Amino acid sequence: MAVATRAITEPRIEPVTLTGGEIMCEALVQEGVRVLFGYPGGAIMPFYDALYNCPELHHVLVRHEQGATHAADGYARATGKVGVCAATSGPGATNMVTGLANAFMDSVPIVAITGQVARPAIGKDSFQETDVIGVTMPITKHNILVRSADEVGAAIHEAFAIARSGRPGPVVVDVPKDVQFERATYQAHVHQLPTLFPGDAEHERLLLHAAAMIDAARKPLIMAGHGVILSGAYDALRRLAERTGVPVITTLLGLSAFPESHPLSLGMPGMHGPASTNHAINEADLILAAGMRFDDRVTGKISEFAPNAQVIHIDIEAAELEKVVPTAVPIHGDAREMLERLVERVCQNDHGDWLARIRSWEQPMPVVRDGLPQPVEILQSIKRATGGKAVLVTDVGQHQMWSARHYGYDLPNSHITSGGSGTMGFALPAAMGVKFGLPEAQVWVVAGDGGFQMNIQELATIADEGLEIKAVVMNNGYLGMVRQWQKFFHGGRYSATPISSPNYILLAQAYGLQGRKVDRADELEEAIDWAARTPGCTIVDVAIEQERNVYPMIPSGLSVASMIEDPDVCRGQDDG
Amino acid sequence: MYAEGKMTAEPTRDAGLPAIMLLFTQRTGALDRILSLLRRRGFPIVGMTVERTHQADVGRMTLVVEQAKALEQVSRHLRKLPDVLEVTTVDEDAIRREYALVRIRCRPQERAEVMALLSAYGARAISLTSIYMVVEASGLGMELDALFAELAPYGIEESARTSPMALRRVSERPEGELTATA
Repeated sequence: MAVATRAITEPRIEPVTLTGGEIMCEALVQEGVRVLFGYPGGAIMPFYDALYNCPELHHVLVRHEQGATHAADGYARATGKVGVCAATSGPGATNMVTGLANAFMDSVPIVAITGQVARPAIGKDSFQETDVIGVTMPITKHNILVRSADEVGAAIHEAFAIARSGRPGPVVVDVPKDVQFERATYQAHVHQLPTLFPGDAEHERLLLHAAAMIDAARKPLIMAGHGVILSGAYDALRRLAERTGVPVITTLLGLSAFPESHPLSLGMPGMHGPASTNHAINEADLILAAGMRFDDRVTGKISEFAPNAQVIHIDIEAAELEKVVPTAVPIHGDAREMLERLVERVCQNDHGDWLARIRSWEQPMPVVRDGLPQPVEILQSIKRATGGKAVLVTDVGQHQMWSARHYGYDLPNSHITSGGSGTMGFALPAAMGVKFGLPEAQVWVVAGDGGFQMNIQELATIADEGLEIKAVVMNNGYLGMVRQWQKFFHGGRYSATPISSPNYILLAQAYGLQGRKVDRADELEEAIDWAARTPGCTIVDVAIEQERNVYPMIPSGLSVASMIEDPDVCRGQDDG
Repeated sequence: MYAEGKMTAEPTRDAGLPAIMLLFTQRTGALDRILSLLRRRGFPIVGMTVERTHQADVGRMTLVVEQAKALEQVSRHLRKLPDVLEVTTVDEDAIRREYALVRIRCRPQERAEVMALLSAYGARAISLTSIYMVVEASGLGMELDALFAELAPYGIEESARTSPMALRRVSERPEGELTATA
């Protein structure tokens, strides 16, 4: 069917006649897919039947469809390719909703294929019928209900093109069961979407303007986000920072875009960023933001965010520009290309005094000796045991903030976490996708005892697939971050936050895996080393202090002036 | 029969409000996606028409927003939708028209008077009975406001009125026609 679109399609192979289910498989193969995560059911059976005869596609049977979406998400984040997951209609598809929302918030390209009831049954409240298009519309970049078998191939190729183009995101392809049975002619397409950036001359004008502002600034900062990783702009970012001497802040999803051991690295901004980094933002006269979106966890109170700074904002999505903060130079473009061109247009510079001023605000980590393993020591042990080569997949909560603050990410794209959506239960299934994407990598899950239990069923998938994933549970017996908020903002009333855990050693054994428990600081190092050298998946359950808080903390909606600091950090430091 | 003063009725709020024209691929869910985006992002849309075009697979909308400063963000977000082909601002140069159908009470002896009134507005009667007249009118929002005010004394029984639709006087699209691809 001829449809007006902005896209260009080119035929790739000779037409063949196949069933809809076979076309789905063939189109995935044509898109370069080798692994997909899914769970079969009634309305997707013809696709699974075709998969049976498709050796090119390795199907990973997850234990819950949410796990499939997170695994596809982890695969995509680790590789930069489109992750794929599949589920049946109704509950199969609705179980994917959280994972789709998570991928949408963090700009992760995944294609989710869902079965739908047969065309004549649509709209009749049929068994396992859900309006998946309606349900997923606000949490996907796009979704497509396929109406006939001759649309299947084009729909899948379009889905991949949309998922990976521009700012990436999830796309759902909903295929009615009778369409999967129907035969049609399939011709593989290369589906390309045009880039809608402003012209080269406009870019040039903006970049020259930006370069002049960077050269003139006295207290400049770079804020790098996920877009730097997505566009592979590591080298350009580093060259720009080194040439201009501008310190680099990395947002939660920007962590590992810039080596944290670099003298110009200032780490993470915002709610749980170090005080010195937030003070720097407060005093900066220029912020060059690349591939980030000024999330409220970064800015706090907008009217008091970076009150002295002019903003240059590079983003691949025009709608992100001027969405949150007033922007002097909005640049709609790819982070890598724009940063590479910017490097050529700025002058060599040095901001040693400014950097020294920021460093003077840094506070020492309080040393706690209570005999318990310390969160920071857990992270340092992992780094030591892996020679700094680990890819850390974290969940959501206190351990996530400790990992973001204290691991020290040097390896590009070595930090995988659920950012915008804050999805507990993300880490374990996401790590499966990371491991499939990077089979040689040392993949470590760091999770809390709450989040780890949220998709714990995926241990079975990990065992089936023999995945070498090392899981460390920071176990404080609480939903720690919620408990911390209860402590600070709800009078210390710990409503529904104490949480028990199973015996993780026995649990590991039940799945045919191995586990260790660490109760004392002096057992930690050995247990982490054991995990690193033990083949297969291991779980290390580490008891940490129950009521440890993440410091510093800027309460939601407030500014750096309202920062809650660690009471253990020595007081009386000079503010300048 | 009607007060002179009503000729200068206040224009409707959207008579000259900022507006956007958009073209979209006419397929299942496209309209849904556009409306859902507008609701989700809380954009203040005060008027909307959905239109057909000379191309069967290209639909068209005119959206009226409350404040000009919302135009850019609304346009940028709409452009993210794969179904949206083109988004442009309705500038002063574009033609805007609203369309209305109005059923009034009109006795035969009042017809001549009403007809004269209609012709002054470029409107016409498209249905006549011994009691009722259905009027068809199009024009700028303020013109229809004035017409409605003049018809009110006869007794407006029922009316249907669109928000404006808009069209450029000259082509601003460099490549001309949107081309359908296979």
